[in-house]
Amino acid sequence: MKTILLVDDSATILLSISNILTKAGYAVEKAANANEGLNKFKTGLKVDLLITDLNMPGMNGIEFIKEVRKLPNYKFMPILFLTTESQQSKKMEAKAAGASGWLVKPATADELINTIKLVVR
Amino acid sequence: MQAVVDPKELERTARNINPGGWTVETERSIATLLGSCVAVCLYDPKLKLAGMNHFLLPSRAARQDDDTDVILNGDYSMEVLVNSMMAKGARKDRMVAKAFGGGTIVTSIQMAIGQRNSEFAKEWLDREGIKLTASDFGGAWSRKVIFTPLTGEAFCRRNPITQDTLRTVVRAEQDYEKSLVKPVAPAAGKRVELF
Repeated sequence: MKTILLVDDSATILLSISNILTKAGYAVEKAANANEGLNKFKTGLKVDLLITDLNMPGMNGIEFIKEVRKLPNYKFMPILFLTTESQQSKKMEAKAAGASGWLVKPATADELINTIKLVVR
Repeated sequence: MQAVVDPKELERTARNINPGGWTVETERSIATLLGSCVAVCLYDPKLKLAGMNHFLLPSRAARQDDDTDVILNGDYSMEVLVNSMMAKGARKDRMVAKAFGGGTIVTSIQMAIGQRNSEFAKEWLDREGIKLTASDFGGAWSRKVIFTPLTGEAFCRRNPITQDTLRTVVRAEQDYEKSLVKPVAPAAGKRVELF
């Protein structure tokens, strides 16, 4: 079973998205901010996909994935942003930081699962 | 010393938001007219930063057993407001909320819509740890809400439903709901993009 780490400061998003992912047959780990997410990676957690918000208090999503990409076990792990942000400049920044894709909220359950299937084989 | 506010003056100079809209202000008051929609007013008292949105949940999902897409739509309306305030330095743990609306405007079917909107707002705020300090929901009323960043006060005026209300408020809300349920047209900034 593939494992997805979901990082978002919204409790509603963590609850709703993890329900979607669980129903679709994925194991889900959750973190409420970037530091919590980083700590999960530093324990060596097996993660097949990271889905992260962009705008979070403290470390934002782009700073977060730059730190994740420094960790040897996660250099090539797929990373998706799930965010309200739609500015092209932010997308390019995310791509340069190592993101694999970008979904604009509110993404539907079908959009999310179909996108995940494209990046997690 | 607490600023003295005149609600009529606040209304006269307010920035008005329509269904689907939101704004954040530090000086100017914010106003909106509600039918079955809900407006959530968020305030950071340290920065005297006020934000308001005006939203409703889309109709039930096509799959009757899955309301997740409906909740995600509602979450978007709240998240863009919170993010806009945080971009100006607000902190979620300082925010307090006041919320209004969810009126019964047309029929018994519409009553469920207003109630659904207000229940979503209450549950969202509770889940996100933002205290709801005042609210006025439900009933056969439209509501005019004015929210000022000067003090964080919100003024809510209930109005009985009239033919004029049905024409203006209901029409605006129906147009907004249609925009939520119709397929999103591809744009220069795509909703889903793989790099």
